[in-house]
Amino acid sequence: MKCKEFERYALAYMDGTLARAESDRVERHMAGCSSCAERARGFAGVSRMLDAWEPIRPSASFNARLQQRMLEQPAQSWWERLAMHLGLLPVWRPAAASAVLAVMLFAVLVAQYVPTSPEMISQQGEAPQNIVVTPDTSDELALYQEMSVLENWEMLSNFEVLQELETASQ
Amino acid sequence: VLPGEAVRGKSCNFRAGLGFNLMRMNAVAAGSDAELMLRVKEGDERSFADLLARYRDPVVNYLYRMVQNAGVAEELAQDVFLRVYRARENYAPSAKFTTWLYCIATNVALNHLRDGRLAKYSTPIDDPESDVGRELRTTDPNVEERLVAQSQGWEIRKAVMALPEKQRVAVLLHKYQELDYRQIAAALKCSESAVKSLLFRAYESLRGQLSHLAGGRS
Repeated sequence: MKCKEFERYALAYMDGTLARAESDRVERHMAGCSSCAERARGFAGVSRMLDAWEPIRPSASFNARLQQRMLEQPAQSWWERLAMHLGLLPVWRPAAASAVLAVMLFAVLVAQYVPTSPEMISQQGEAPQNIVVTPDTSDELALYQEMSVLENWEMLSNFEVLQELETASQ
Repeated sequence: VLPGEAVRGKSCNFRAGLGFNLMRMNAVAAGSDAELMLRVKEGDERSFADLLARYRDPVVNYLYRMVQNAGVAEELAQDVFLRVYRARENYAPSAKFTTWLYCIATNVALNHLRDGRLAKYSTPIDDPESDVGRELRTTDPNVEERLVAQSQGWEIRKAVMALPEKQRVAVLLHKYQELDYRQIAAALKCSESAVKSLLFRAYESLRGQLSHLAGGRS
């Protein structure tokens, strides 16, 4: 027996669970290997020290608390029982939660979507009736009366144009 | 997959296949833990009480040695028995009941250690208000002797706590719960050969850390 092989048998030897032949081999190895013999003595010492670790006693209320928690368990619904029977539940729960979240996100995106159909653009594109067009501003105003251009936020943010519209209407 | 045991993608699934009826007959005939669990499955609450009476203290102590805090250990033990109870309808005696039970307990303990849950119950093992601290204020004539024993006990617990998780599980299940290599391998989801290696390395580590205590005890 080599030292590496001794490692596999050391604990079982200490437990007394080795077969007679294997146990004899371990003992022969230890007789010729002071290092492994020292290890075995050390392991026995550790085992004795671990014996000194006293157990604790659970509190007197342990059973009552457990019974209370058992009573608090909600009854499983039929689909949970079915999923559990099929062995799906641990996987299904996060999957179902993810699916619900995905549906909610999709619903929010759909609700926020504003369609820009040609009909809507033409309705919005009718020019205000009270604007007087002068020759020097006519080209520029024509540009801004093209309402599809006003879809562009950069154009809308140009307040000077709005001021000019007010001036022109006066 | 049983509902109570799934822990972070792992499970303690010992459900039987084709030989279920035969195993059930064997379990009932043997009057074993498995028989009690099968009765629980059929709605017999007294059998659950019997199992609880049989395994409450060992499970609490296993968890106590894993987390080294009595309050946390009790809470975790409650979780373990709740999971056993919840899993009753899917229980099948394809493995020893204790293997299944300690597999659940190990998962519960490792999850606790990994996410630091129930921190409100935690007190460090070197808390100055621990038994050692209180003992100093007593007038007992044997106080010095007991202080030495408590100090050594503290060092042993600290050394066990310092072991990597799997080594600690292997040592505790082997030393205190007296599970065989096969059962420990099932609880740790590894091979028996790996368990032997874990145990050897754990004992080597403990031997090194506790060598200064060995002289006085051997």
